[in-house]
Amino acid sequence: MCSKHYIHDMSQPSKKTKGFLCLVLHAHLPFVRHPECEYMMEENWFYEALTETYLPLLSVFQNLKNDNVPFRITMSITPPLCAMFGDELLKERYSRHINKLIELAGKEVDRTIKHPEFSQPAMMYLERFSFCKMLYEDVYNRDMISAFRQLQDSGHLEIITCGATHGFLPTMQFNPNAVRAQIFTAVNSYTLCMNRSPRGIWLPECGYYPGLEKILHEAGLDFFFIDTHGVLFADPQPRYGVYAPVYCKEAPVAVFGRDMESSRQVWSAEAGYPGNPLYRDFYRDIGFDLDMDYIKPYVDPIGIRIHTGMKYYRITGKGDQKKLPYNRDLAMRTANEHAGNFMFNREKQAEYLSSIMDRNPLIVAPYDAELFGHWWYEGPEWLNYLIRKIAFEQDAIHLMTPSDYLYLYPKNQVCEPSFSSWGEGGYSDVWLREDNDWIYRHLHRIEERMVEYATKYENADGLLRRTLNQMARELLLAQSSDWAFIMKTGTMVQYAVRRTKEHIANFLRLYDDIKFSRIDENFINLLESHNNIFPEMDYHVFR
Amino acid sequence: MRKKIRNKGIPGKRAETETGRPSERAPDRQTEKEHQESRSASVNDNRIKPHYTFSSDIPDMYNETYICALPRNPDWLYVYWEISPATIQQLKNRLGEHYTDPQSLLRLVQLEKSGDSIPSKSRHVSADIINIATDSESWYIKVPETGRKYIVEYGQLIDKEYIPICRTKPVDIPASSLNEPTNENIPDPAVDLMLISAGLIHKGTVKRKTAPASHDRTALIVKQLNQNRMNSGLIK
Repeated sequence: MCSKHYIHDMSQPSKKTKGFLCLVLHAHLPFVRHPECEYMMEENWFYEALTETYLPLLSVFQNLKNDNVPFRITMSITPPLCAMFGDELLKERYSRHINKLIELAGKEVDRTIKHPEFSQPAMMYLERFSFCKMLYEDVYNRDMISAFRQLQDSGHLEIITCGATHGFLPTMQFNPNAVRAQIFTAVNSYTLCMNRSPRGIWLPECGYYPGLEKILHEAGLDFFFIDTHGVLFADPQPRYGVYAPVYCKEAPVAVFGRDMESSRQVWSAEAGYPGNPLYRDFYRDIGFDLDMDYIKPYVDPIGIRIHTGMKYYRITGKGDQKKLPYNRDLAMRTANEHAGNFMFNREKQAEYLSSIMDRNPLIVAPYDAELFGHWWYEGPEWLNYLIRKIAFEQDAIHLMTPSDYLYLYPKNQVCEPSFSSWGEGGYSDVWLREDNDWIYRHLHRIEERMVEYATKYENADGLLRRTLNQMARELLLAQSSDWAFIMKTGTMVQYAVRRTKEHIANFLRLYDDIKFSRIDENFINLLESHNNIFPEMDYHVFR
Repeated sequence: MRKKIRNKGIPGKRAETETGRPSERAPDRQTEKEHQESRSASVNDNRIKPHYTFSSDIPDMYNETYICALPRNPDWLYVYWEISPATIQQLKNRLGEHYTDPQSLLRLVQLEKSGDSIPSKSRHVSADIINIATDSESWYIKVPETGRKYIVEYGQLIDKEYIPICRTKPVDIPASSLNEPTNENIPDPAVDLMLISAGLIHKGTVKRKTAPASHDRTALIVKQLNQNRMNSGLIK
């Protein structure tokens, strides 16, 4: 067990340091696990993320560590993702998935042998898929949580927690017990996975409302992040803008604001790096491009085309321009240049900020982890180049985590941040709109019912206790912000609606079963094995 | 000012942007269309038969009386409610033959900043009456002033008499504007830091002499932040 206030030596700045860069990777997927089906397309979200993001990121971090490159990265790994990392069924199915990919890539190497522009990427995929399998099976023994934990224990990562199921907290604010359950369940889950308690939290969707910090403080959390406007609209005005944390007014919890400039360079589809014409195109996938007879064993078994992960083209350009084949060497060269450009801009930014601040600034640059590898295929390599350049090619900026910065600068201004999120519009617009607003009537009703039973049954045991714990799981799963988000985006809507309704229906049935003294143990058994997130669940968290 | 929910429009709807969160980025159009169709199709069509299924039947309503308002953004709040048959019956019992042709109303009450729950005349600043369809269950309300606290009350107009039935907890609508600094003579560096934070100047390439004058800067910062938020290239 490590100290909560563990600070690694490598975070100590030199005299030439002008500022600090806090890279934050938010790793999240909703809990998708379907033992009732041999194949469920939505489980591919997890398998794709493992192959394209989480294993490549671990590999980058491990290589940096092996090469003695000093670095400090902040990562939030959400409880549902942790649960999926540790789930035996999903482990087995990922093994099946990566084997199929290797088989497909082998066929592709043969098929493209007379077309060098495609055989090169085909060979690359064969190598990368085989490497992922080797990492997953042999190096990490299918234990992703331990792999990340070891990087935290060695001082390279600061892993923070998130809401238990990524529930969007501003829509729960009138039921503090519901918010508390999201936070405390997450902290408990983190502690079991990481063998220490978390210091910080990534609020789901950066969703903050004034007063939330009281619950975060109760849970022992010291810091969280919000979007730029949440800090700039704070009362009073923050003295350092977003370049230093502020402490919340209602509880001593630090809040870090997102830097616009570094966000724009990576996130912006127009001006951001991932849209460069030399990078790999996400959408041209052989799952869509090749004959169905050939590709059928590698897509949805009922014959629906899906992404296989094998994509042979570069982005090329806008409009109807014919796509050019992907060239890995050119893409890597570009990633290297982009890493240099990003570092140069941060250096200049830090130099200027430090000239007008009486302390070194902290530049907070948060991203969805899946941007790196899944959406932006070259993202992990960009990160690798960036970290090495920061370590060896300049002295102005230094990688740092929020804990490090608070250790260095424990005194900070006290403000009340503003209600905000990092979604489109900056508030609740994404999760509260005509497409998805119907869910809140139901979520709020079952939240009330859960609190009612948690209060009524103080010392439940046996089957009643199991039922109450499963009610808590169903409620938490229904609250996931992913369902409302998917309803808004317009794709996979039926799945999101079905998941929301199923969890609500399961909850209501269990509620009535207790009410009318007719608990069905077979149903409890089924739900416990199906929605098996948080085996340690204790319904008292809703009291 | 007010907009009905479950109508053809979406309250406060903005043009959907093509950029932003990576999953929403403008893709190659043809392949993205195929991509979406395939994903939808796989949900709509028969999947491989599962070994078991769960019910997804949930009630439309709960036979309870409640009302809840949620802040959506600095301009809008969302309110939903349910009036139980028992509540209606109580009204009927109370009003007898006068209970005819009830008209549903929402009353938006702006509280004083210090106000918290009681919408008595001495504690609220203003109130607007919103006519709604009797069978409606939710509504989006454009608030008259940002940075304020509101409650919403559901009531019925019966025989020219307004009868309140239920009211929400106070809901805080964010201000979407800069607050006053702790020190009125805000030092120049702090002004720069706000401007840089808002994305108005970058890494010192624009020097102080070209930075906006103090009386303009609050408006400029707020405008830039709003633009940043609307430009989905900066969202996530």
